[in-house]
Amino acid sequence: MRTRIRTILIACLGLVVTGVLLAGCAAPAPTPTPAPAPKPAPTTAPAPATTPKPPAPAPPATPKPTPPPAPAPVSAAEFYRNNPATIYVGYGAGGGADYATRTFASFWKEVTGGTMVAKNMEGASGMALANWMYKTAKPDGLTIGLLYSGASLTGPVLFAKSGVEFDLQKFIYIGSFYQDMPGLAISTKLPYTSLDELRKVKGLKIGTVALRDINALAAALAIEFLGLQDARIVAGYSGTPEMFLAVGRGEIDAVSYTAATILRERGAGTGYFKPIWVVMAEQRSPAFPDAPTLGELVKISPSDAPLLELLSAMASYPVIFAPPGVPQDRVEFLRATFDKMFSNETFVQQMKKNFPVWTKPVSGVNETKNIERVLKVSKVDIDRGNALIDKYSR
Amino acid sequence: MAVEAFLQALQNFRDLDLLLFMFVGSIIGIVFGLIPAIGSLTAMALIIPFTFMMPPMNAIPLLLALTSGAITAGSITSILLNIPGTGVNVATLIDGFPMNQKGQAGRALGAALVSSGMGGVFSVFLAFAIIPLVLPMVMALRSADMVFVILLGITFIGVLGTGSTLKGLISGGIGLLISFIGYQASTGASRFTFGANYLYDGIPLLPVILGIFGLPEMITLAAKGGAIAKAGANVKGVRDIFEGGKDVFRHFFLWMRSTILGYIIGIVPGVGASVAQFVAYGQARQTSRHPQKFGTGTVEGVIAPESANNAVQGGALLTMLALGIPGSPDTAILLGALLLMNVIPGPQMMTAQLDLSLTLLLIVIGANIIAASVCLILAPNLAKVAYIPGRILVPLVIAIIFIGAYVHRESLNDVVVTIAFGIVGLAMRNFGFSRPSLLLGLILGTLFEHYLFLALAASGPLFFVRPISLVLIVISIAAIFQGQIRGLFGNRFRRQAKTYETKG
Repeated sequence: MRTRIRTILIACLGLVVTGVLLAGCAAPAPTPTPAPAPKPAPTTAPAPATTPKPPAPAPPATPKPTPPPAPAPVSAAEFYRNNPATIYVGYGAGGGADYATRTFASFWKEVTGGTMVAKNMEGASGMALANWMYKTAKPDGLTIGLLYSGASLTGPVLFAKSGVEFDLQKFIYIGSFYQDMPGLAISTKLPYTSLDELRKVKGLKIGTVALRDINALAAALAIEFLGLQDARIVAGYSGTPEMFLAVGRGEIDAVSYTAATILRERGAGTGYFKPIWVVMAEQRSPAFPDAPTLGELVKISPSDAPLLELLSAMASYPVIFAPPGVPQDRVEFLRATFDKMFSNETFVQQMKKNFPVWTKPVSGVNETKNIERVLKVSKVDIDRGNALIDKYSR
Repeated sequence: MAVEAFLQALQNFRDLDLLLFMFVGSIIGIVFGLIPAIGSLTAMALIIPFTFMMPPMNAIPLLLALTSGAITAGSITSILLNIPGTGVNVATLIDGFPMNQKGQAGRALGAALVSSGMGGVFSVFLAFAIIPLVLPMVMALRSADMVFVILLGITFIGVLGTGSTLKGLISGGIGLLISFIGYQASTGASRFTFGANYLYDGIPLLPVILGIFGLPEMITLAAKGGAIAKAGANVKGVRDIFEGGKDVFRHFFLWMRSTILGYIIGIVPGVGASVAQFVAYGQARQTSRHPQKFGTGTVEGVIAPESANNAVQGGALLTMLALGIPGSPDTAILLGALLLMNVIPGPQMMTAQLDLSLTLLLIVIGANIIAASVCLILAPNLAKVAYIPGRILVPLVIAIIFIGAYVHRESLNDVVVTIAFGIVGLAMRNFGFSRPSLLLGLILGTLFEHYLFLALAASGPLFFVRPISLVLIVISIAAIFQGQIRGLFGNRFRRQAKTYETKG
C-alpha cells in the first residue's frame, strides 16, 4: 500500500514538474493585447508562394492583411507602457544577435516604462522568423523581430533561396544597429604586400561562410576585378571561428567577411591576418580609414558599377523590424525609441562589448531606403553576380 | 609560469561564490539531465538570460557545471528508460538498457556514474599535462584530416547493437540519407526539403532521439505489461551500485583508453562528444574478448562511452579557450557567454591568461565530482524506476517525451517528427535493426559531408595525401578489418601453439 501511495505521489510530482516546465518554456508565442483584434481573413487569397521564386524581388503572393482595427484611442507611449512587447531573434541563444536582442529588451523599460521579453525563434538561418513575422505575427506593434539583413532578409530574396514567403518591401523597419561592409584580408603566412605581387600568385583560396551571400559575392568581385589568377572561393565553413582557424592552419589564404568581424579577430591577437587589405564597398569605412576600396585599386567600368551597387545594397547588419500593418503612431514610437536607445551611453557601451568595431546606427527611415535600394537592383545584375560566384567556386 | 598560474587558479577556485555557483550549476544540470529529453541544451538556453546580469565569475562556473551535471545525469535516463538524457549518452543505452532489463540497473548506473565522474576528472589532469601541445596539435589538423576522424567514427556503424552487421549497415545508411536533408552550405542548395522551411535545417536531432528510442520502448512496455525489469531479477540496492563502481576498476584499462580517446577527440574542434561516445564504444567492442556479448547488456558497453563523453569536456574546453571553436552545441552557448563576459578566447588563454583557463578546468573537476556523487546518492532510488508498473510509467514518460520534443524549439512539427520516428523506431526494434547505427549515421553524416566539401574545395580531389590523413586512413582500415587481422595472427599463434603441443 505504502509503495502505491509513494508511486502516485511521484507521478503527481512528475506532472507538476512537467506542467511548470511547459508553462515556463512554452508560453504561447503572441503576447496578449488589450483588445484582441481579430485577423481579417484574406479576401481573395491566391495560394501562398511555395515554389522557389525567381530571383527578382517579386513580392510573394499572399500579402499580409491590412491594419487591424486600432484598439481604444490611446497614445502609443501609453500603449507600450501598459502592454508587454516581445522581440524575437531569428538565431539561437548565446550568439551576438541574441545578446544584442536581449540588451535591447533589457533597456526597453528604461526608455519606455513598459516591458519587453526577448525570445529566440531559430530556423532556416533566420528565414523561419522572417516568414513567421510576415504571415503569422500580430501586427499590433507588440511583436518585433531582429535579423541580420544580408543573411536572412535581402540575401535570400536576391539570391532566390527557396522558402522565401515574405515581402521585403512590406516589413516595417525600426532601425539597424550599425553599418558594415565586407573586407578582404590575407593570411600573415603569405609574403605579399602589394596588389601587383598578389596578381602574380596563382590559385589563391578565399574562404567564405555561405555561398550565396554578400561575402561570397564580394570575393567573386575581388577575383574578377583585381584579376587574381586561378583564385577560387572555398565556401561552407560553419562560422567565422572555423574559417579563421582554417587561415591559421594554412588551409585557405584569405577570407572575405564583414570587415568589423575580421578586425575583431585581429584584435583577439591570433595573428592570422594582415590588416584589411581592401574594403568591398563604394566608400571607405569610417571604422578602418586605412583600407582602400576596390574602386581605388582598379578602375571599375560603368557597366560593372551596378555589381558594386548590389554589394553595397546587401550589406549585412542586425535590423529590427515589425510585421506589415502596424499602426503608424506605434511605428513612429518604435522608431523614436530605437533612436533614443542609442543616445543612452550605457546601452551603447553594452552594444560595443558585443560589436567592438562600432560604426553608427541607421534609423528606420534610412533602413527602409536601403531596402528599397536592394529591391531596385536589376535581375540582370543579380544573375551576373550569381554567375561570378558559380565561376569562382567550382 | 605554469606553476604560478596554477597557484593563482587555486586561489580563484577557493572563492566562496564560485563554489556556490558551481554547486548550483551541477544541481541544475542534474535535474535537467534527469528529465529525459530536456537536456543541457534546453537548460543552457533557459539559464543564459539570467547570466547576463551576473558577474562573470559567477556565471561561468554556473554554466560549466551545468554541462558537466547534465552529461553525467544524462546516462541515467539512457539506462533506465532507453532515452538518452543528452545527445551524447546514446551509446550508453546500447548496453545500459539491456542491463536494466536484466535487473542490473543499479550496477549499470554505478558503472556509468563512476566512469563518467572519473573520466571527467582524469581528462582535466590530461589537459593540465598537455597544455603546451594543444595549439600545435590543433593547428596541424585540416578539414581533410577531420574527414578521416569522422570516418573512423562511421566505421563502427555496423557493430552497434545486437543485430547482424548487414542490418547495422542498412540502418546506418538510412541515417546517412536522413542527414542529407536540408540546406547544404558549401553548394548553396536545399536538398530533399520539398520547399518546406521546416526541413531547411535538416531533421532535428532531438525529436529523432526521442522518437526512435523513447517511444518504441514505452509502446512495447505498454503492450506486454509488467515493468521494465524482467520479473525475478535479483536486486541488491546499494550493493548493486557498488558492484558497478567496482566494475570500472575491473576494466580499468578500458576506462583509461576510453577516457584518453574521449579527451583526444574532444581537442579536435567541431567534432565533440557525439563522435567520441561511438568511437569509444566501438573500440571497446573491437578489443573485447567477447564482442558477441556487446548489445546484450555488458558493463564494458556502459563504461566506455560514459568515460569518453565526460572526458571530451576537458579537451573541448581547452580548444575552445585557445581557438574560440566550440566542439558541441553546449560549448557554443558557453562560448557566447564567455565572449559577453569579456573572456575573449585566443592563444593568450594558454599564456597570459593561463590562470583563468586553469580555473575553468578546476571548475570542471569540481562539477564532475559533485555531479557523480549526487547522482550516486540518488541512484539506489532511481534504479527502482525499473520496477514501476508500466501502466503508471508509460503515460508519464510518453507525456514527458512529447513535452520535451515541443519545448526544445516550441515547434509542433517537432512533435510530428517524434511520432514519425517513433513508428520507424518500433519497426526497427521489432525487426532487429540497430537504432544507434541510424543515429550514428544521422549525426556523423552531416559532419562528414561538411568537412569533405571543405577539403575538396580547399585541396582538390587528392586532399587525403597528407601524413595525418594517411595515418587516420590506416587506423580506420585496421578498425574495419580488425577481426580478420586478429584472426590471422590468432591462427598463427594457435598453429604455433599446436606445433608446440604436438612436439611436446
